[in-house]
Amino acid sequence: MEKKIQILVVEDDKAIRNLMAATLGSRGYLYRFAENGREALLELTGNPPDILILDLGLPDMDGVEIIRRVRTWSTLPIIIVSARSNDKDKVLALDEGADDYLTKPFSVEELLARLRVAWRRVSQESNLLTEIQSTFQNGPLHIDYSSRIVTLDQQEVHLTPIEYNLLTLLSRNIGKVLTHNTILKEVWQNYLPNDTPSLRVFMATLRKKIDISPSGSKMIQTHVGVGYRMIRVDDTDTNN
Amino acid sequence: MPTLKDSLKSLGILLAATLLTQWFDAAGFSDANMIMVYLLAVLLTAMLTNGFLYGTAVSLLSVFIFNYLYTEPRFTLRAYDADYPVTFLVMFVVSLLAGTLTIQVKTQAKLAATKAHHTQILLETSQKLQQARSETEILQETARQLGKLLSCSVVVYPIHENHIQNPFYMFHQSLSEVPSSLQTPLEQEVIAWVLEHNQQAGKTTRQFPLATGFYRTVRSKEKIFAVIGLLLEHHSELEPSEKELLTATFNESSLALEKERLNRINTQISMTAQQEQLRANLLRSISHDLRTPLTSISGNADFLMQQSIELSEEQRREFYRDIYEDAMWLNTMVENLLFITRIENDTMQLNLQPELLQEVIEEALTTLQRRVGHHRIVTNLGDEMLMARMESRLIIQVILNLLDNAFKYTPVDSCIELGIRREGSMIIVSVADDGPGIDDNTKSKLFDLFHTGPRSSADGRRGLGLGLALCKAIIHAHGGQIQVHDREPHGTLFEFSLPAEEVILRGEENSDLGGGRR
Repeated sequence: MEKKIQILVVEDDKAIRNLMAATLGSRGYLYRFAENGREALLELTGNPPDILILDLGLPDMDGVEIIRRVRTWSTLPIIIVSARSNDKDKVLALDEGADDYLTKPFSVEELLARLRVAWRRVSQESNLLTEIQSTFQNGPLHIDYSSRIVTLDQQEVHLTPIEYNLLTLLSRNIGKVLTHNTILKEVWQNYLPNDTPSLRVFMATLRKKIDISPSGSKMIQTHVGVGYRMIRVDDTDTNN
Repeated sequence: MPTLKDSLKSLGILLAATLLTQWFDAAGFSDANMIMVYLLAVLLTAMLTNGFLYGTAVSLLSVFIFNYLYTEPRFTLRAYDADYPVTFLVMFVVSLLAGTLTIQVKTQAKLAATKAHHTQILLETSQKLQQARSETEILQETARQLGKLLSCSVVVYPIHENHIQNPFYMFHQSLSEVPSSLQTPLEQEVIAWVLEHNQQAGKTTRQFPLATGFYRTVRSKEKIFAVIGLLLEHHSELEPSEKELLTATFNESSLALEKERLNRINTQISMTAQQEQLRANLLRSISHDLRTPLTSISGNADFLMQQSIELSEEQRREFYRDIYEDAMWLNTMVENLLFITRIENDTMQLNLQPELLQEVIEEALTTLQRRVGHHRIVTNLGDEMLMARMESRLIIQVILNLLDNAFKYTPVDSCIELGIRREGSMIIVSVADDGPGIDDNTKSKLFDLFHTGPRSSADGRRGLGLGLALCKAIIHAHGGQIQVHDREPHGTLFEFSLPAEEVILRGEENSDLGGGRR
């Protein structure tokens, strides 16, 4: 890592802060803490970090409110770490603009993996600023957006229009958990609530066509009850 | 009211009497016999017809016919003998009196019969009301009996917390649909008035006499149960006896309703007590069983913190692993407890979403990865996409609990098979192990709350007896079933079912037109 990544951790519980400090410190991340929403907003505006790790249950305000405010001026990756395990809470936070969601108790490995995914997204986006990408590469998967050709290990993959749209949506938001609603809104123009089964099925068929890499790693993750996410294949590799 | 039937009857009797006297006359019987025959005719008429009219008419006619036919000069209305006018008068008075008496006897017999009928209906009412199990049943029975009593259709407006609910009807004979006259604003006004003033009103009363129905409340001291309306088509006025009966029936009904209400309150109280007992048990069980892993966690951590004790790397690892496993166990328990409280509080409002079973099972297996230990898991997910409406987190919890149980109650190296298949309109998820199996006695109690497996106390493996009870509650809330079976040669098979969701694909047909990439 050429540049040290700055992480702001918003967490009111001391024990969890200690755990975070140990975890992040061990991997060379630079980290700061905020204990409540007010401090967090001050830090975010005064000295913006690269990644935000946010607890939803804060003493002075709801974490979702922080997401909402931050998203008015910044696209920095937000990873939620919360004891709220309800799917509804997850979907709400993700729909408000959070990138990822971890439920307490979380495993340290998992948190580090999510951080890597988030960082990949930031670095990719800074590339995007310089040139608008017309191709996409993720492990064996290659997408040529202009000619709408998808190949897997140089073999062309035949996708239906919906599958192709799903794939481009996921690839353009790589690393980010997209909720069912977001996907339905983007891919089905005038979607109905009962399109959700269709989404599940199209996603399943898409995965069958794409996720056949011999290493067994999965590009498209299912977050049951919440949504889907495409991850960098090499991200998962470094996990193990 | 003179009716044709009664007139014909009277005439027939008179004709028969005259024919008989003709024969008497021919046979040379005396006048006295003929008078007797006519008296008999009057008596018969009074018995067989309704009202005074026919008896009186027949007695008058008898006198004239007798005079005309049998007194000298015959076939005139004159009589030579000076005795005859007296005879006629006596004959008329006697026949009139006899007729009147007969009618009275008859009326009384009829009254007695009506009374007996009413008493019988009342008796029947009280019996039926006692048998009725619910408020609705009692009201239905009341309506049926009132309809029988007054030969009319009955409408019942149940009252719930002072609000009028949708009515139900008990039709009498000819009527088969709700008459529109019952749904006019006037009727609604009468009902509201009755409810407010708690007095009867409507037809036959002073309040709203123009209404179609007669309305009255069924109430106890504390509560109004319903407003009952009687569709009195044939009554302009209620007889005193009918009023009495009406009051008696309404009283009977409100008594029954009150009794039912008190019963219900009592049942509720005992149910609450039972639930509190359950909760108390739960708390006791939790505080006892949670202390064990907590002791192990704090003890292990304490040990690791002690600088003075030399520990090998391997020993340390073991302590760490124990702490981790106990913490994870606690986490599972907390999840289960959260769900249990949700069910207990009746807040089990499921957030149902169509989900692919394959994805749900994969998610469960991912969660489980760290806990598999020394067991083998074989999955058989098939190729067909199986979808069901569910709250995925709950179903994942069910699968986790089943797998957890399989790990807990089977020896290491056991093989656990996880499969899904479709059976008709249901999707079946099965978790099978090749462990020692479960004996029948345990099987019957398996899904009870706080039931723990036989090994739990012996070797300190813990469980709150929540897992399977929770599975059952969750599956039932989803409209499915959960069952346990034996496997050959040994082992246990848990299966639960979920209603399958038909997959209707939508999207491809319009995506070519406007669904291009954005």
